[in-house]
Amino acid sequence: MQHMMDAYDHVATDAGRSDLASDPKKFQETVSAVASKKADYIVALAKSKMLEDFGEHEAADATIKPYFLESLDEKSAIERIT
Amino acid sequence: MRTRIAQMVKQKRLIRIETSLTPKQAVILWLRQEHQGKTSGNYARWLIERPPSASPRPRVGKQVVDAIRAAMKGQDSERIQRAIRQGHMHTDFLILLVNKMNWIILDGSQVRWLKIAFLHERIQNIGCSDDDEDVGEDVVNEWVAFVRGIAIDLFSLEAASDRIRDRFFDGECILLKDTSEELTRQKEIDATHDGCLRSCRN
Repeated sequence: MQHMMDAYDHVATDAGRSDLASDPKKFQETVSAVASKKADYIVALAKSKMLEDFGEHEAADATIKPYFLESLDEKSAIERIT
Repeated sequence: MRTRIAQMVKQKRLIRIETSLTPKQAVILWLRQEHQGKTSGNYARWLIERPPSASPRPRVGKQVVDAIRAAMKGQDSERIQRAIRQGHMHTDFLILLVNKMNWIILDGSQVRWLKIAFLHERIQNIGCSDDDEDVGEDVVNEWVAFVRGIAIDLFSLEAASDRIRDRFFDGECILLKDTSEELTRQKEIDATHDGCLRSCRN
């Protein structure tokens, strides 16, 4: 991680924009927050598939629905920007 | 003769152990015996060569069901059925979780490689440029967003895998050999960006 961040810090500093250099603490916080969301999503995928295979179709839908809606929100947000 | 008896006793003990496992213990045993150290290709071939009953979901599920049935012998049959269903469902969930985690890492791998290749090309172009005006605010801003995006995606995926491993599998390795190596390779390649950039600048 440090190498990657170092590389672009170097360019930012060379361009006279050291204010754009990375903040390792903030970066780590973001990674942690995204990791938590990803882990929850993967758990929901597995749980939903298991419930589906055991005939609990409504519970399966309810488990995955929030993530599905969230991805739709993200897509429409991207479409609004572009 | 004595060796044969010792082998039979050992076999019986193994069967007893395998039929007294909780869902988590049974899945960890599956990981250790059949999953860990294999690449996705090896694992697929290994599974195809076996009969359907040897697939982990029905087989490990049956192990857990047998264990629950043995442990609850003599109790109310409705209660036993409920416990069996719960245990079977949880075992199935854990195996699916291992599969999904590996699948998600490998599935996104090609896209991550292309992003890294694109990033590397940009670093070379910017780093080797003679015209300092090329590296303006817009270029740096674009860079920041792109590098951060790749780094966050890569490191959060690894952290998510670690969280799932620790939360559901007591820290037992859940990644296939190539899944784990792919993540490591993608992290390590970032190190070359720095070297490339510095050599172009000097």
